[in-house]
Amino acid sequence: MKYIPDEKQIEELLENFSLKPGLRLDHRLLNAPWTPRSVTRRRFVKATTFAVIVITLLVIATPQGRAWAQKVAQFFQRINSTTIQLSDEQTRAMNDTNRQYDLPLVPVLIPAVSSEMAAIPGCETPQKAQSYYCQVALSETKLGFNLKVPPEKTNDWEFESLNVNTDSQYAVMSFDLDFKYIGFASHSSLWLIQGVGDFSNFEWNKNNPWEAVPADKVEPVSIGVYRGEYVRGRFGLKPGNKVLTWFEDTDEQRLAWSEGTRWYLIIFSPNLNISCTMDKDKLIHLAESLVNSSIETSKPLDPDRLLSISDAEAASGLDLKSPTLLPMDMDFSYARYLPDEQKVQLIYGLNEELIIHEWKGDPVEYKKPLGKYEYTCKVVNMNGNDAFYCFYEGGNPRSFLWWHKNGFNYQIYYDPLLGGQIDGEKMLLIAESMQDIDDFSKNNKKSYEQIVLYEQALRMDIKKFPEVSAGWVFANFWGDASARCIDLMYTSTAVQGTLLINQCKTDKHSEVFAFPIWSTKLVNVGNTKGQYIVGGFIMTDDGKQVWDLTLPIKQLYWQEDGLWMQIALYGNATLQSNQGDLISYAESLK
Amino acid sequence: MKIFQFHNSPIVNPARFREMYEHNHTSVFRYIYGLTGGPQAEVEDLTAETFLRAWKARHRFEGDTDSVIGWLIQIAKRLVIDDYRRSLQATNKLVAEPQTESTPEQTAMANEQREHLFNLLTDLPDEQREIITLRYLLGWRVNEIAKYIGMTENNVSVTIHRTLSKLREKWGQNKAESLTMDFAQEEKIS
Repeated sequence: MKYIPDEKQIEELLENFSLKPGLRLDHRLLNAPWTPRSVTRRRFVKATTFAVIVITLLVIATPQGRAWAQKVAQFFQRINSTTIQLSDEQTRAMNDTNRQYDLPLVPVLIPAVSSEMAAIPGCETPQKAQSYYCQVALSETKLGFNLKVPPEKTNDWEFESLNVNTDSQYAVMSFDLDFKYIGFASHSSLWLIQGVGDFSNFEWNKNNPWEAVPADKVEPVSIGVYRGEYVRGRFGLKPGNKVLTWFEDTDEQRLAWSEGTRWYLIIFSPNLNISCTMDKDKLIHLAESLVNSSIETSKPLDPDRLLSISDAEAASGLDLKSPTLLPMDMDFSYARYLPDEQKVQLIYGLNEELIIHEWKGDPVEYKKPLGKYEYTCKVVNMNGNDAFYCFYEGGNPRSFLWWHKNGFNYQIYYDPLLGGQIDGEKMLLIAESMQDIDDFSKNNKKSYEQIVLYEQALRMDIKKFPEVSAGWVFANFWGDASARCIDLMYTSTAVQGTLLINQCKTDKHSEVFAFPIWSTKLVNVGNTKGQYIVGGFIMTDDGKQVWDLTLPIKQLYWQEDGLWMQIALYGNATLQSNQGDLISYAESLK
Repeated sequence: MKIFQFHNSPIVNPARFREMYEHNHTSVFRYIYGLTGGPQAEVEDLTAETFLRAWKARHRFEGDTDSVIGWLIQIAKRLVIDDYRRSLQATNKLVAEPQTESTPEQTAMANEQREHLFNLLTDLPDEQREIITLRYLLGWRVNEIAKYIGMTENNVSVTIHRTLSKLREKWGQNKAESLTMDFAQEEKIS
């Protein structure tokens, strides 16, 4: 090579390299756990928190719905497009994380083990009831059929959660898979979803743009003697975009099939796309090797995922305290034990917003942390002793509280994801509430008795069905401190159907103008006026979302006693209910 | 009173981690590229693995958002070393990308220069290669490199100067000679 640059030119060459990662990196991290889609899916599995999400995702089992579904797809919902335009509401919901609001505290309620669970041998205590074996056994009791499960759990498989929908008769099991491939761990997720009836009505799959598939990407396959469909690829959203685009070069795979009246769906979602970890043949092999029910296995405690305070105590040998007051919906999630530091972290909230560190040792120095966040710190009084409280009020507000008691250091860190704020006074209340209670992961299911605690926290007096239910049985509820709402969910005792009663102190979830005018009707509810709305958004063959009056969703909006009220009815129950029935439900609430 | 600075991770929840990823992934990619010399696909795989490992370990990160890049490149460096040990082969297979609007001849020449320079970089001792990468591919200042590596600023400046001189000296070496050396090295390993 004749040309020899001098040092300055070599410097310039190095500075001008402008190396940039390419699409391969995007594809590899498309399903990474911090991506919006991953978060959205986890939230769906845990629970559909707000009515607006339920409206988007919950759908049908009616003759009209089935007719529409059969026209569209056998298993996956096909569209003739590789892009899907999202609505403003959908993109806003994905990005609406910066609004700040006051988050109230709610007493922790340790629910008793249900009689159904206690009747299962080995599942008598709250902690044992969370085990894989107990969760499967209880789900089978609730659903009335045996679940199929992977034949054996190796070290690469970690059971994460099991949620059942008794109304729509399906179960969602999730596993974490850490397949090792030439030294890399794949950190993959696998969902095994199974149900009874028509798969095309499965609400996760239906009219959900994230789960649609371009028609030419669906591959027919055989699972033993049964037929099914296989898809590799997925719709994804690039940052700042409003159009979902089909990604071909990803190892996300789906396999759906039915066996008589039973249907199954396996979703393999690798965080790192290592093609060797799972392919079509391996998925089919897994599908063919599923067995009936699980057997009880005793696994050693995983220090990175301890599902109760007592497990954390057993793993660490420490006598731990945990709060009896927590920010709304920040339930105990899991605990970690860090053996090198002999420290335990108690983790609360779906997005790990609240973390408590506990370890034995000398008091730490109360020193303001250095770095990007300019904390304001002060020593505060906590039950007659000093504690150290720091908060940051900038773009991403956060706070922490440190104290030392009986030879233990305690630190509470709060870093909100969705804008819910707790001030120093509340941090102190959480700290002071810490006791010897055996909290545990409760799978986000709440009991009817907790409603009153939420009412007190949100300073609301909500309406409920009288003691004698009008054909509905309580299923779950959620609180929304941002909009000051409580959503009650009932399921029908007669036919398949879900009834949501959403009551808010604000008008945040009452944006009826989002619905087409021709789908709404002005009606009388008691002494006031309300709006009755029929139908919902569906996805057309070309990937557009349009309003469909035949969808089995009926809603009623009105205002009463300072509350913005909404009743939404889904499923077969809509066939037997008309405008008068919804008004009757509304008027019967006390 | 025991002095103990313990600060909760600012990247625990997904939204914060996402912000951190958006802010740092190009730097991590360049760092790995600087250490390994490519190829691009392998660098992207290692970059992805770096962030996945960071996600798994995010509870253990105790710095603030300013220091997260240092933590990330430590993870990346360990991965590169593991990857090297695993493969036990040289990785100087750069496929250079044209970055500016040029004639095909200019682009070809620029690519050739970049490829040659990366080959020279991968022959450098680890510490020199890392310092050059931090200085020129990530654009760190000398004082930042000094703090990260644990050297004085003067030592870092001297190292940069000597490394640039060494790169210049080696620039003119015959490519064939370099290839022969690689082949001999591979034979020795096998």
